[in-house]
Amino acid sequence: MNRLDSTIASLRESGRKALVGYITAGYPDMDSTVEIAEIFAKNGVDIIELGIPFSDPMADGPAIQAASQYALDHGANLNKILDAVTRIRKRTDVPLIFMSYMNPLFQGGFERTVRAARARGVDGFIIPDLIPEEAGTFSDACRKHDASLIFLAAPNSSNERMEAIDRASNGFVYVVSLTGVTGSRDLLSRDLEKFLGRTRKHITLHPGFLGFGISTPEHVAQVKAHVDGVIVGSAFISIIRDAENVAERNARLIRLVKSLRSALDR
Amino acid sequence: MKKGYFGQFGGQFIPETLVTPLRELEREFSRAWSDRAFRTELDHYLKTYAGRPTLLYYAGKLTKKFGGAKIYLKREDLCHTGSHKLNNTLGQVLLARRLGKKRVIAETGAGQHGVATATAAALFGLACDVYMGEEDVHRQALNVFRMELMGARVIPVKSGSRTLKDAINEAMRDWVTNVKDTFYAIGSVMGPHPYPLMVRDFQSVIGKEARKQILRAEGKLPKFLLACVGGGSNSMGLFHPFYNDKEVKFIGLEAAGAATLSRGSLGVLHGMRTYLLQDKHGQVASTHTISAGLDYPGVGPEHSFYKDSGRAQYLPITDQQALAAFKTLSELEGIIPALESAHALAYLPVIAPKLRKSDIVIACLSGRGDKDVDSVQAALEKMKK
Repeated sequence: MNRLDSTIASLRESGRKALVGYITAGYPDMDSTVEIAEIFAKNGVDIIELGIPFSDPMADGPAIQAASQYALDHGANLNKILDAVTRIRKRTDVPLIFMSYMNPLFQGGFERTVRAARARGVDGFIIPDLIPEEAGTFSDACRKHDASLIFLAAPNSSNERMEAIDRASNGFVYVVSLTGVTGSRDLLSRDLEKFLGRTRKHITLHPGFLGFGISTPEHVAQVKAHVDGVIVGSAFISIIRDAENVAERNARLIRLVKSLRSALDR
Repeated sequence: MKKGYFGQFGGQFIPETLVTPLRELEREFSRAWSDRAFRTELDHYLKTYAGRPTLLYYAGKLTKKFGGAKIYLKREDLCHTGSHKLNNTLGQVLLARRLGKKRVIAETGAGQHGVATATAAALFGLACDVYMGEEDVHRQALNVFRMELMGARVIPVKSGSRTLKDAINEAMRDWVTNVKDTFYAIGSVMGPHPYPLMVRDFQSVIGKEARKQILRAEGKLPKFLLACVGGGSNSMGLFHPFYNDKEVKFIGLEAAGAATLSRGSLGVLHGMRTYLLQDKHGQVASTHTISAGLDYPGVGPEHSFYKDSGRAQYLPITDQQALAAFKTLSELEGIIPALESAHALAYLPVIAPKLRKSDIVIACLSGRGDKDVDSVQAALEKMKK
């Protein structure tokens, strides 16, 4: 049982909905990543997703693409991110999930990556270009080292696929709100409600957390009855990008986290 | 072999959203490929519209110059739109129509696949958007204009290295978003299953024709097949029908600045596990060659399989070698080759003299060089200085 499993269990027990916060590791630098992780944990984020930047992030929209490129241009890599995880772990026990594409995790072998990540305090992985059918060796490595491997379900996934994704996942299922890439936008309420109704019926073993396009307390209010949690990413990245200075950035991040939290708890 | 794999290469490393359309595509392609009506219609357009079969030309002066094996050129440059790319896009756009899609999207490097997609889309009345790296939009301006003339929209891609790999990322993002009514026509034997297999089957017409033509002309098979490899579609199209002719050797020529098979390592990009040019952290490299069509840090998974199994050999060709071959073919045979194809021709002076006069080499002349004359002129002038 890793930190994610414990957190999911206690969320379930208390009936609380989960707030998952994403940031791109190394954007704009590793010190900020450590600091923001602590801010997230202290202000109501239940689970943190740390993005490992990749040169070719095909599932990401402009905000995360730009953040990833910036982080890479400034020297971010898996080893440095693992060092940042060590620093984060001195400050908080919040579950940490790596979000990355296959290629950066594959170098040196999946087994080595998973073992190193677990040793530093990472609890699981979300990989947007990995479907259960292709997970073989990565999945084995995760099982061996008690890392959670979280799969994604999409609006065009059949009912049978949703059930298979649910069975293959650990911790939670990442429910993708729309066919598209990450990034803030208006949610189409009617299609989404129908889809979420399906996830309720066919994703039953694990909680379903909704991500892609969720950026405001209004979005949260709109969807929260149909999901067990929400995942917010690009909205945080935009704040980090646009803030004039660190104090303003941190204040705005805290404000957004708190408003999302209270929208979930209301 | 695991479904969708060539040895350990290939697979489907894709967002969940693409699972449904890829299954649909796999099913529909397999039905269409064994459907006589579909094959008849495709053959009809290949013959009456694309101008197939293309010629297998005996290049007598090249043969004489290199003083060894007889050199034949498979003249894909004579295919409508000026390259082999139309073989694939006619097939894929017919499939798109069969699937009821209203819009096709494509990525393009040199612009040849973009032009071929725009052409097929115009012919069958589908909307067409082509993603092209901003840098390529500048260096292949002629092809941009051709696409626009045929009613396609060319979308410059400003992310990453602004070349082919980034155009593919952007096309994938479009496809994930508009998956309901959009068909993604991939231009090479790459991407997630079933694309590598499907594009190979559409391009196999090159090798099937060449095999028949050489047997008719010479009564025997060639010793070597030469073709350039970017993603690898003209080479796979030529090689594959000769797969079981073990005495025929395959040589794929890569651009030295994008020599994925010669210098790459195993990775996952654009939906496939294959050889990639990348750093030790798994970040994909930017490639640099004079030939926009070969500027790709990955390669079709079946080529990776051919390399590992030893069925084919892959060698790098420098910009200078390609330019020299470009000039030689123009001067000696009166044929201006595409810079991509010039990479295949650049190996002729190496291999032909080592062979007997009774031996045969077929090189794939995958496209014509009109689009490249500006780049070549600039490069030659730079070399003079």
